[in-house]
Amino acid sequence: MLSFVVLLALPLLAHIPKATAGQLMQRSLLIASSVPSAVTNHEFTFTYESTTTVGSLMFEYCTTPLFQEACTAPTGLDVSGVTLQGQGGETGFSVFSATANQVILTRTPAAITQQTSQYVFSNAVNPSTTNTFFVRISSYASTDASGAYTDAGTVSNSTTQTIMISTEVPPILNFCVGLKIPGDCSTAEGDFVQLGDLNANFTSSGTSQMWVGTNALNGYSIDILGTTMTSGNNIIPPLTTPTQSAAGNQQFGINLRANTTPEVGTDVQGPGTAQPTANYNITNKFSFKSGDAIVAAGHSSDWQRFTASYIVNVNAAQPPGVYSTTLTYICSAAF
Amino acid sequence: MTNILKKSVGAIVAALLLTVIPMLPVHAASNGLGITPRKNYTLQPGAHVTDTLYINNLNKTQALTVSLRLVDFSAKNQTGEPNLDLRANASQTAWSIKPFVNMPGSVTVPGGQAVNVPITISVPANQGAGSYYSAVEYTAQNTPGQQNVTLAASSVSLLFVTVPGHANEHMQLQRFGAFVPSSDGTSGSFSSLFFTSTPSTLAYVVQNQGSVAEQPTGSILVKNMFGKQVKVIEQANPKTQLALIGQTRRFEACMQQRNTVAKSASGQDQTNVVCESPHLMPGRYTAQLAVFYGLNGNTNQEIVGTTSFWYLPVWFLVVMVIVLAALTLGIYLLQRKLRNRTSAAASKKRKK
Repeated sequence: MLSFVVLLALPLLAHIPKATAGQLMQRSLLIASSVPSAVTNHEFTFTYESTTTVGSLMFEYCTTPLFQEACTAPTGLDVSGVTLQGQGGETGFSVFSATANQVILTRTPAAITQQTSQYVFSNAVNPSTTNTFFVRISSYASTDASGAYTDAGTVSNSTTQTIMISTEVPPILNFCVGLKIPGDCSTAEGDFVQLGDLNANFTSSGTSQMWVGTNALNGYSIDILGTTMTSGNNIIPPLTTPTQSAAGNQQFGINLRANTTPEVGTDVQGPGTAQPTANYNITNKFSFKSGDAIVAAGHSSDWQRFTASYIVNVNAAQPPGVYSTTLTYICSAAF
Repeated sequence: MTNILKKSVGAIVAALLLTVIPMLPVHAASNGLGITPRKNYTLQPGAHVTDTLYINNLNKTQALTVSLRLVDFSAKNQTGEPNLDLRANASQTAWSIKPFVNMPGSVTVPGGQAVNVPITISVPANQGAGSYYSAVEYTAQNTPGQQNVTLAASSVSLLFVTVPGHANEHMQLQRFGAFVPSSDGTSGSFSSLFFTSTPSTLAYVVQNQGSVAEQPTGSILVKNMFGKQVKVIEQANPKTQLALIGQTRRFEACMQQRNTVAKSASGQDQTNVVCESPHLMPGRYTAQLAVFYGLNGNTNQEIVGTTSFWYLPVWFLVVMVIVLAALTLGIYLLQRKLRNRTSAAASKKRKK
């Protein structure tokens, strides 16, 4: 254990080993067609940092960028049949060897004089899936890419699906609101919430429900938009911070919890992972601010039913009238 | 007495006036929407594309009348939550696709059915390279009522158009470290000391200062205090999230990730990313970030960063304290024994 204590202090002395080689700079990869599995051209452009002798170049296609990591070939990629269609800057190269995910170019070793260079491979087969892939490029003094590299760098690119027109393109975001939603959205009923008679002696309350679910990987949020309750020019001020309901005061607010004072609402139901946001997730405290996110999920989330509880309080001086509002619940997936 | 009577009558009248109109019959219109949340297009200047927007009426019997309009959006915070500008007179953003899009203003979907609404996106021939985006807002049309609270439902599809070419691409790393996400995955905090649980997430924050909504990709290496590689995070942006123009965005990656795909109750394939414990031993760890971004053919930009964190669980600290206490006691006892032996020897000498 003592040795462990001593070793615990070692990281203070530890350091990440740094490569002494140079970098390939201003790197880019232009793919003539980004369609998965397309037979296309891959054009590499970069600038050598070192001006030392270079006899070979290695282009290794991997699913990850770092040279320290083992290279896994992107699915479906095949560069075994590539030809060097063009070269600029440092020239004189020819294909030394080519495997499914690795191409080595060779030439008579010579010092770098034209630092910015381009190499174009034709007949490259793109990865078959819509994913990002990386090409680790390195230069060598040897003619067969053996020994330590002189310069190195990674480029990334991705294959993208062509536009598909179909009846249903996943992912899907499902959403509805209603006075009651006993089952899924097909059972939603009612567009209005009746809060009863407003009275300075007691709190008026009511509920509505939302049903939401998505398989979108980044999750979703629901915002609330609208005004507080108004009657002509008269308003019932909203609770801008979470506050307890107090009869005899002017208050309008909502939350998404099962409350006891007043007894209204239900906690979220369903197997999803979304939760009410902080200001709307406190039992017996209510709030309302137009534009607020009231529900958020950071991941894809199975269906859930949220119950919005509304409370309204007025004082004796509240001008009489019919007080109403329209609240729009906006559901959007995250990007 | 007259005043009291007046006040009482006034209160009764006020109470009567405050009484709202009885509830109308249930409104017979659906507001259940199923939509595609995001669409991506890559279009050359001067090109156009015709596609469709999917709208599913989730109510099996009632028709759904939906109004469609384009709204601009930006980022609300460090997450991917869009900040929709829903004002009727909102000025257009620099990245808006409003001028490019042609689509109908409303559509009616019969109960239990789905429609594909045509949409055409045309990029002007002189349009500069970069990212352009707006959202289509679908609002289920209800009849406004004089009730206390009238409900309306609305969903949005985010549309992203990339115009290839040489664009200004620049992102700056602001923070990189071990991260403790909130249970709903929308927030959290950075930490470099972990006492109760193993750190399971690494996160980095970048600010997008260019004109392209960037989707960085790359990996993260985690090494222990002896320099040995203990974890490789192959996808530093596992959910292929975007940093919008001008946004400061946080990207999170699990040190050990498990993807589960299950059929949801609504019939969708539900992919869940679960961060599992990476089973780290106590000690100090260093993480090395390398992510790349750049449009096809543009110079690849690289973001690199290094961070470190300590994992010192309570059980380990307790063991350490006991060991140190035992060591201290042992040294003390040894010293005392040596001192006693020395003084005994000295007194023996004196006696002699």
